[in-house]
Amino acid sequence: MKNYRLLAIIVLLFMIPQTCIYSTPTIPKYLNKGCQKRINKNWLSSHVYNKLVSVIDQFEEISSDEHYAEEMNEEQLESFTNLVVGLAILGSSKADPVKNAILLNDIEKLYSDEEDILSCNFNFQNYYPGENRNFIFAEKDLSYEIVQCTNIFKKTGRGIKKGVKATGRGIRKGGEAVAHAGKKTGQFIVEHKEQVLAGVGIIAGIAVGTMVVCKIVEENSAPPITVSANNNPNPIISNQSANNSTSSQEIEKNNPSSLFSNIEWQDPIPDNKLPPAVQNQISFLKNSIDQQLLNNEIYSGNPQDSKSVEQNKEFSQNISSEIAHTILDIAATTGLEIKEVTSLVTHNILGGAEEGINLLNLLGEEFQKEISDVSKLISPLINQDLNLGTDSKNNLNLKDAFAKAHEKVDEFFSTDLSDYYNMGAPEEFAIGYIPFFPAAEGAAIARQALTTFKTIEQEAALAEELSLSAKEIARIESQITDNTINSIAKENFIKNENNLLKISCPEKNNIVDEVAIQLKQWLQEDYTVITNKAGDKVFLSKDGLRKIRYDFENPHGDIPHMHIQEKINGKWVDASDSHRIYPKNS
Amino acid sequence: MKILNLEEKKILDSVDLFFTKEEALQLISYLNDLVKNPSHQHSHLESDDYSNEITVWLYDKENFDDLPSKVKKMLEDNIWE
Repeated sequence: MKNYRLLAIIVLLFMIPQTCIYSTPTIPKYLNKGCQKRINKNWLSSHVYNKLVSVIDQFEEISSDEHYAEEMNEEQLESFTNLVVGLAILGSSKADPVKNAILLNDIEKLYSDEEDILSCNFNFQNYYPGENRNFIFAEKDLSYEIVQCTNIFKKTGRGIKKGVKATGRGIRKGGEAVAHAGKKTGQFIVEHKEQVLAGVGIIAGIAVGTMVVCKIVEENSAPPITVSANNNPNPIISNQSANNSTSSQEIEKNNPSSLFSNIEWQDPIPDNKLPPAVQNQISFLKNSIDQQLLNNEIYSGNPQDSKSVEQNKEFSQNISSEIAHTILDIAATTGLEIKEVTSLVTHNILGGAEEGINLLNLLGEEFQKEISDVSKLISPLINQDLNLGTDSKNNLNLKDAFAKAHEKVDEFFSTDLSDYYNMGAPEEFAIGYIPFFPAAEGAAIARQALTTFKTIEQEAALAEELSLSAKEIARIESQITDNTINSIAKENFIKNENNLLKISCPEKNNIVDEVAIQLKQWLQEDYTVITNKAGDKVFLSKDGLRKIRYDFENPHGDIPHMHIQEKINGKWVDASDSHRIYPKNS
Repeated sequence: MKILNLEEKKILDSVDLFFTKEEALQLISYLNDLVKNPSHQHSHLESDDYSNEITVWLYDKENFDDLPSKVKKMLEDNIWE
């Protein structure tokens, strides 16, 4: 049974897109309303759990305040509300249908008031057409997203505080809708804080492990990771197994049930260090994962078979639910803070990931390739520079990579459990939240696509199918050869004499993608993409005569906009009638 | 004249700017455009490698009301929060 647990964790990890989603038929109806789903990832980010909790606490205070203030930015409130709802959904336990029914009812109430549906200022970029999903990621460099995220997140908190202090002013200045919405969000947090916090822990725990695995596999997919009999990282692989790994692989490749017969589980934290209730609950969780794996026959299914995809999705949802269930139960029975519990569970999941990655060489090339394909798609969307300090030219030091992960889990949760797992780790990456990339049709499409689309051309097509924003498409494209881009563009171009932008709510059509195509057409082949220090993209044509500049990350006090320029007589001038182009709702 | 570092939320009293000839000509072009078209409000002057940039704004009675509210607030109050 223990061996199945390892496989389950691996599968769980490589299925992180689904794992982060605990969707119900009820939720998208509200989250998809209007254009309110626009999320600025920066607002949702924090690399320390306590900071997120702090802001949640501030919202909790707002719930008891009759008034709210104009300082509360509509978009910030909207994004934060959606984040909180998403976390609560993720943190809900299937084992408690009554509480779930209450949660869904409260979500319905939260979104039901039309005056709370905040207006769509623009939705060209940072637009997420599916459910609001949030993802945690590991990042090497604090200078880009994390720092920005943290700063802006603090700013959000300050805005909230000021809002509370500025009692009444918001109403006088016409901020009634925002004030009311803010209060409702606060009330929602009061009612469902436990689930929200559990959701935070789930994302952290699973996603950290996933990103470690994806990155490791990406950098080391060939040759396969080698586990030496004389230098066994944790977990222990018996000498017999290591010595016979090749033959084992051949024999057991298509028989998951016997893949791990020679693997011994070794819990990183000695059982006697944990309270009995925690031991029991974690044991319950692991057994539950095993059982679900057996029931779903997840790995043995054909990944291109829609039924198998659904099974995978259900499996990952169940696992999320189980983790939430475990976290809440442990907290309830032991009195431990949810933060401590989620940290503990996170460490355990990460420990499972470490075991899993050690076993990749036993899983066969096909499985490794599959995970590698996942990581190729995920990495550019999440972070182009994801780096866990591994040296792609050399063999991976697994222990170091996971030691870092354990350190950062402690950093994230402000706990001190990593010593149980390792003896210290260098500083290389951090943990932060970003919205998960959109998948219009949910996890099933993503999962199916990941295993079906094998070429870079198809990946680009997938991006469009998933309604990725122009920015995200650009990220993907930056990793695709220019020739490929051009061939795709030529096939898909919609001729437009004016080359001007028509940006509307993508709920009506997929016009964001259309715009991206038009922009590429105007730039012509072999354009360069430059990211400035603010993180905004500048697209420069090959001949240096046409330029598209985004001012989204740093709009200079203005609302996000773009400039489209061409160089005439050596000077940049506007290429369109508008000096600044604002995406709009028409 | 206002010299602001929007990103770091700092108000500066003075700043030394160094331009290449090409950049200076571009700046002149941008300023001419802003003077002729105050509604354009701002332009971005970037270095060749896009590692540095300045954003030049035009603000006067003619276009002040149309400036972004955040910018107006900063110009009016000289405060950031």
